[in-house]
Amino acid sequence: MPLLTVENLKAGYGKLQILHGVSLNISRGEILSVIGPNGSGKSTLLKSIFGLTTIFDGKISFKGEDITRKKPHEKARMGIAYLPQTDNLFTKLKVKENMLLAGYTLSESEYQERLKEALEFLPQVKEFWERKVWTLSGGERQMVSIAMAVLRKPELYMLDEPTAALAPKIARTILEKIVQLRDTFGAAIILVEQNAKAALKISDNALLLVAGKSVFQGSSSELLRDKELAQMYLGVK
Amino acid sequence: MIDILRIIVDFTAFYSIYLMLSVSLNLEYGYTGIPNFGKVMFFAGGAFTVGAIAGRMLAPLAGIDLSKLDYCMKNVYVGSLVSRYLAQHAGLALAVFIALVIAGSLVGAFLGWLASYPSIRLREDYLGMTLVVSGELLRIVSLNYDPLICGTFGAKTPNPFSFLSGFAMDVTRSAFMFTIAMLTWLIVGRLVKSPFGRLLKAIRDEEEAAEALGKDVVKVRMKVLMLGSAIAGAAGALYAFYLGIVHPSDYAPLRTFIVWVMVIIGGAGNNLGAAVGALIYLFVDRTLAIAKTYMPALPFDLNYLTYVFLGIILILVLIFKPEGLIPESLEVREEIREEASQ
Amino acid sequence: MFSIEVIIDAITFSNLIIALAIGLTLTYMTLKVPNFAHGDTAVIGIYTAYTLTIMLGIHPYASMPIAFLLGGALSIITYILVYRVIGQKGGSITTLMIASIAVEVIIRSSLHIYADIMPKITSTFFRGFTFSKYDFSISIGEATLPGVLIVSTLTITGIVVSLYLFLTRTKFGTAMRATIENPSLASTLGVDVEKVYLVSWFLAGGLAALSGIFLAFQIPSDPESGWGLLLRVFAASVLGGLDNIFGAVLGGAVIGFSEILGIYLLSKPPIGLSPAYRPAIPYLMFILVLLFAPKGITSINLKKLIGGEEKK
Repeated sequence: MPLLTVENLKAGYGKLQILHGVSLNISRGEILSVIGPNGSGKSTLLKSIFGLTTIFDGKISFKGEDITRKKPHEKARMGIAYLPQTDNLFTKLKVKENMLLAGYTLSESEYQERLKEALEFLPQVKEFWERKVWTLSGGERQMVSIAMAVLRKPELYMLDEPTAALAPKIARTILEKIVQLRDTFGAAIILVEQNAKAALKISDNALLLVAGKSVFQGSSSELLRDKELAQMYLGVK
Repeated sequence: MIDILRIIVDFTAFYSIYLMLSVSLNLEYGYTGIPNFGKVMFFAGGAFTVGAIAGRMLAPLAGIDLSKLDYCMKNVYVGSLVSRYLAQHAGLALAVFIALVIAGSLVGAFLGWLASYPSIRLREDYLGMTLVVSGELLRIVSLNYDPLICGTFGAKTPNPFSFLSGFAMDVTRSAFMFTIAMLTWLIVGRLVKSPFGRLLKAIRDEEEAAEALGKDVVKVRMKVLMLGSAIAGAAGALYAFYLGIVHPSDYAPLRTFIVWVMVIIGGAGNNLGAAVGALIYLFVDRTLAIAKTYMPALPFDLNYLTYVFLGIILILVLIFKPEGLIPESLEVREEIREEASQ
Repeated sequence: MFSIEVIIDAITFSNLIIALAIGLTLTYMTLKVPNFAHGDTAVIGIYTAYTLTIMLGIHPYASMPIAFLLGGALSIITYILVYRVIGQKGGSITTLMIASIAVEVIIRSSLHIYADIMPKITSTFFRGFTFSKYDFSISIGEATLPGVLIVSTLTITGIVVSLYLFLTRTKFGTAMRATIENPSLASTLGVDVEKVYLVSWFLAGGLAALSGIFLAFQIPSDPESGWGLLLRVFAASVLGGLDNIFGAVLGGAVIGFSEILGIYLLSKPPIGLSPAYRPAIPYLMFILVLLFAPKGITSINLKKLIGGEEKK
């Protein structure tokens, strides 16, 4: 059974409708990339699943339970980690304090255990443990936010453009880490990416969104092979 | 019979003042979203202008040599001599009256510019703080800088209507005040229905959109604040003449609070609301003034209790009916959206 | 240049301004509204202590804990009944400010009523009193140090240090700093944001009440004393940067010292300014900060530091 199922989701902001009936499902140990042109509703899709937008119609189920109307922090507690593009860190606090907050609801022993795991997964974070987040580069910050997410041991990660504004080399490192998330923890990951090619390369399945509607849904390799779609939407020659 | 007429004449005078203050704050806050928490300062500016100038300016005409006496110690004496002189020269008296009311409004406008300059570009909380503390500073200066209005003595203002006497004088005075207040209300009323008025609301509601359209938001805010302060200054001048004396402690921050009560309860953002709010407060205020004379002695000053109630009512209105008694009409809102999107 | 007495005055005054500024900055950081009733909360502290002194013979210093609790309680009540409600209804900053003014008027007028009634019950005046006659003093060499200097300095230092430790070394304290920066993120991570706000308002009110008591040792007090304090507090908090508790400490010290030392210098010949114009000094500094560094002086330092360091 899929971990998350979205059925015919229609959502937007206030009276403005962005998504016009999007469906998807994702299972454990799967990376699903959501790609498409600017303004097609990729970020809105993630936000809607997490409960930050207005839902007009449709159903969202997580582990068999209907979570369409649940509040964001309830979904967080159920095991969904949403990492928005901005604003996912406390920039004025130190890295170690950010991690402390990520494990806020854990007991001391649980926290130490999970922290060990998270730092094993992302050892780079130990290097800037005492530094304030605002002094870190974009890539370093991204590592911290992933570490914070890993600490919470979610079953589903929703990442909104994690490589935006990052230098190619660092972007690659981040994408590698995302693959490791799947391989090491068996997590399900929905990845919204502007860089379609890179996303398709690491993902199992893909959802191509255009103007709030799904234009393709299937395996990533299939999409890469579809010359027509690839040319129109992925900037592939 | 005369008693009731007297009350009406009294009411009219006070209403004129309250109306002007209410209109000015409504223009600033209701239409433009400026949190003027220093309203009393501009009101005082106009009043102090009259207090500082009127007596001193006219004294020589009344045959008084100011260099020979301590104006502040003897200002009551000077004031009554000047009034007696004015009684013989009605034309001059009225000219002085009008001139000083205008002067009061100019001083108000100047203070409006001065007090808001440091923070008009900043967020509204900074502006709110600036206006509050500026008012406090003016009060301290007026209490201690004797040449202004004689510090703790206060300054007597001559009576430009002394060419009449008794009831006729009261009626004429109230009539003048009410006319000025009404004119102000009508002019502002036209102003806010004009494109300028819609611009103000656009700035209040969708500041970024207005800026994108090329409007200099800061400049407009400044202009509105100066205009509002001019009106408050004129009201202050009228008040100074009406009361016959200007004393610093009369211009406490409480006055600002009361104007806010009027505007919020009446309904911010529309001129009629300003008039209604002022009317409501007038009744409360004057009824209490009369009631006080009939009530048994309380162990505390009744005014304080009034303020507590007004404060509670203001909070309740803000929570439950923030648009006030007379809400901005919906059609006006549509007009704004049109304007902002053009 | 400055006599010992003036320095002592400056330190004592700065202490209470610091306490007030910390509180104002704390509550500002929760709702982004400057609390216009903050000064009056200090006066609540004064009257609590005075009432206990007159009616039960308790020394003002001994009333400090009770005043702290009462100030904190009043602060929380106003937050729950007024600011939180308006905030939840989506009230703008200006609406919150208007409400703040209303709360201020209610508190101040209630204090007036209290100050009117109490003399009839206790046959003592309840306006224009000071605590200075209850103060002790310690002589060190040639100098006589008034008790209020020692008590206020010890209290404020203790508070600043504990606050620092609380905010940086405890989990809840760290959560508070996180909430102040990004309440929605903190909430997603499981922080009880409401609790953070309640603690902030409680601390602010308690600190204000304490500073009121220190003030009453220095100048005659009455219900109007709070309003005058606002000017200094705003100046101090804005100077320090409204998003920065350490800045509030710095701002409080700067404002306190410059006012006392400044008026001392200005009141001497050749200028001979009347001490009644004291408020002009914090006012001037407030205006200067707004004109040149509205985010506070701490922000200037940050910018110089970031200059070479921040990587992209």
